[in-house]
Amino acid sequence: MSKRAQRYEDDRALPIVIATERDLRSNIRAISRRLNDRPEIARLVFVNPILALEDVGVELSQEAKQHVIDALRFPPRLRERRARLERELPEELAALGVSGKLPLTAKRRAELLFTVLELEPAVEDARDPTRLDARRMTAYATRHPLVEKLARYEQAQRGAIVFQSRASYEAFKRGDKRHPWIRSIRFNV
Amino acid sequence: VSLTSCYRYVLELPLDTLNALLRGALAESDSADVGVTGTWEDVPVGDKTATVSVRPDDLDTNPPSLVLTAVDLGLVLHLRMRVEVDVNEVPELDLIVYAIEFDLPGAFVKTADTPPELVMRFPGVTEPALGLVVSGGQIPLSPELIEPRIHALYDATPALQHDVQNNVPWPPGPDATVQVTTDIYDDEPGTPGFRGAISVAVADATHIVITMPGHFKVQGIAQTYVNTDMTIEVKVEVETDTTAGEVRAKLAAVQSSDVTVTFATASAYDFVARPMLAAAIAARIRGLAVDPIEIPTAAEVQATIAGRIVELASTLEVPVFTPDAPAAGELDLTTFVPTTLAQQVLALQLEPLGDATPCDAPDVFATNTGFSLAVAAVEVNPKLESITSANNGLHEDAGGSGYDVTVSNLAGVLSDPGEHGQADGHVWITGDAEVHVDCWADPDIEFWGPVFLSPHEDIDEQLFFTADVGNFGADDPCCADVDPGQIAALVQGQESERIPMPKDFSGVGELDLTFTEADIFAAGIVVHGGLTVVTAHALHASSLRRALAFWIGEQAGGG
Repeated sequence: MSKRAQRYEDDRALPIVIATERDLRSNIRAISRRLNDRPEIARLVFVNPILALEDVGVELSQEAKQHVIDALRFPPRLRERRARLERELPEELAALGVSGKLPLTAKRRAELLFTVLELEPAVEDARDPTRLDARRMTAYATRHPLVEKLARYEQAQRGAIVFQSRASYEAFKRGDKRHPWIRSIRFNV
Repeated sequence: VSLTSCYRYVLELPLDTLNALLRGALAESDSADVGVTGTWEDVPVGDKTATVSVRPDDLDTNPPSLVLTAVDLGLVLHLRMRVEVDVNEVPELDLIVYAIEFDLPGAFVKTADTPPELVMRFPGVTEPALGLVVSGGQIPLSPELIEPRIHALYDATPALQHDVQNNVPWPPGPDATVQVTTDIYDDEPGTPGFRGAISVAVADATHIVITMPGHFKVQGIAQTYVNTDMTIEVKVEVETDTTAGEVRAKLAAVQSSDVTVTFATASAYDFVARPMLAAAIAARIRGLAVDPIEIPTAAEVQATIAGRIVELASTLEVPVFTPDAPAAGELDLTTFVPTTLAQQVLALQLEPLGDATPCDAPDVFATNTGFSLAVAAVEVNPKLESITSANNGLHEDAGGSGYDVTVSNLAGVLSDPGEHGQADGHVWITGDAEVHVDCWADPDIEFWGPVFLSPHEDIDEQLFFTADVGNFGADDPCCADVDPGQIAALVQGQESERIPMPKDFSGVGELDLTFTEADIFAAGIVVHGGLTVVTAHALHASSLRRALAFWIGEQAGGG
C-alpha cells in the first residue's frame, strides 16, 4: 500500500468532528467519500441523513445537526414557496368564509373540502368525512384550484426529506426494510 | 404457446362475443347480406306442393348459439328458426307455422376476396347432421277452411234440410204424440226468397261453431204447440292429425249439450221443445261425416324443411371480421390469420413480425366477455418510450420538492407478473437522478421501480396508456416522504404514444368498444375491453356501410 493510501485508510478510522457549519463545508468531500465507500449506508441518507453520517464516522454537534436538518429538509426554494403560500392562502380561504391558521387541522381540512367546496369524499375518506389527513390532499388536488394550492402547501410544510426514526433507520440498515425505488446513491466529489 | 406468436397483434374474441356478433348478423341479415332467410315456391311436400319460407326466430327469446369444435376453426351453429308452409292444394288453409332448431356444422373461413373477410361457412351439411327438431305446426282454423265442407254436407244430406217425424211422444199433452217438422236453411245469399244460410265460426284453436237457421214446428191433433223460426248452434271439436296428415271435424262426437237452440218466437212449450230438438239435431249430426282436410304430415314437413335447410346452408355466410384495405400509415388488418383456441376463443393474428420469432399458438388471454387485444413487446416498447424519454434531461424542482433534479438513462422494460417482487405485470423503470443540493455534494441516485399502466381512449378513439406509479414507494409508508426528487412524479401520469385499436370489424352492426384494463407481460401488453353490438337497421343502412372494419392508424399528434 502506498503512503498516500495508508494515510487515507488511517484517516477513515478517525472520526470527522463537525462542530459548526463551517466545519461541515470544509469536510464535505471527505464525508462524501466515506459515504461512497459505504454504499449500503449511503443508500440510507434519504432515510435519516444524521444517522447515516454517524455510521460513517461523522460526529455532529447539535448545532451542526440542526443545520443539516434545516438545510436538507427545507432547501431555499421550498422555503420561498412555503412563505409565498402562507401569504396567499389565508386570503383565499377567507374569501370562502374559512378562517384560521395554517396548516389546517384535519377537521378543518375536511370541512373545507367536503362542506364548503362540496367535493365528494373518496372511498378512502368516506368512512369518516369529518377528518382529512394532510397527505390525502393530493388526491383532491385536481378537483379545485384552492385544494391544489393547499396540497402544495402541505407538501412544502412536510419538507423535502422526512427524517425517519432510529428504529426505522436500523431496520433499513439490517435489510429488514428496503427502499422501494432507491437502488444506490453516490455523491459527486 | 406465446402471447402473440409471430405477429405484432392478436385480437381474441371469446364465445360470448362471437355469439353477440352472430346475433347482430342475424338481426341485420337483410342489410348485411346474410343469406339466413329463404323462400321456395312449389316445393314438394308429400303429394302436395307448397311455398316454404324460413327465417330466424325471435333473437331475444330464442337466440342462436355457437360452439367451437376441437378442430381448428371448426364450429357448430345452433339456430332456431320459424318456418311457414303455404300448401298450394289447400288454398283455404292459412300458413302452417313451425318452430325448428338445428345444428349447422361449419368453419371460419378467410375468403379470397380483396380485401379478405372472415366468414362462417357451412359447406357439405347433410340432413342427418342437422339434428333437426320440428315443433308447432298447429293448423290455424278458419271459417274458410271448414265452411265449404259443411255446405257440401248440407247439399248432400236432404234429411238435414227437411225432416218430419210422426208419433213423437209429447209429455205435456193433451196429445200423447205429435208430429215434429224441422227445416234447416242454407240458401244462397242474395237469391229470391232467401231464408238464411249456414255459417261457421272459430270458437278456439280446436273448436268451431256451426250456426244453422231454420224452422221448427210441433203439431198435435188438438193444437199446434210450437211453430217458430229458430237458430241452432253446434259446437264441434276439430282434430289435427299430423301423423295421418288430416284435419277432421269430429261430428260423430257431438252431444246434445253441444247444441244450443234459440227460438224466434217463445211459447209455453219451449222447455220441452228445446231439449227435444237439441237431442234430435245432435243425433242427426253424429250420423254425418264431413270430408277431412288433407295437410302435409309431420314427416313430410320435416323432410321438406331439412332439404331447405341443407340448401340454405350451402350458401350461408355469416360475416365475422370484414377489414378494409389499410390507408397509408394504418395497420394492415387484412393480414389477419384466424385460429381457434381451446374451443373458447377466436384469435385473429395480425401483421406478421417478419423476424425469426417462431410461429406457434397464441396464448388464450381473452376474458369471458368483450374483446382482448395483445400487442407484442416489439410494438409496445416504442410507444412507451414517450413515457421515459421525455423525462431524460433537466427537471428543475422536480415534483415540487425544492431540489433540482437531472434525470438520465430513464428506461422501462415490460416485465411479467412475479418479476421484481411484483404480483402484477409491470413496466420496470430504471434510471439515474442527480439531485442538486445547495450545501452538499450532489448525490447521484440510481433508482428503479414498477410502473403500472392504465388504458385510455382519446377523442380519436385511439388507445394510450398512462403511467401509474402507485407502488413507486407508496407501499412503504415510512418512506413515502423520502422524496427528494419525486422521481415517481416524473413518470406518473405520463402518456404513451397512441396505439391504433380496432373500432368496428363485424360488418353487421356498430361495435361500441371500451378499454377497461391492461395486463402487462414481458412479451407485450394485453388490453381488455367491453364490446357492444349495435344493430339498429337505420344505422346499418347508412353510416356503417362505409366502414366494415377499420383501425384508426394515426399516431399521437398525427392529426
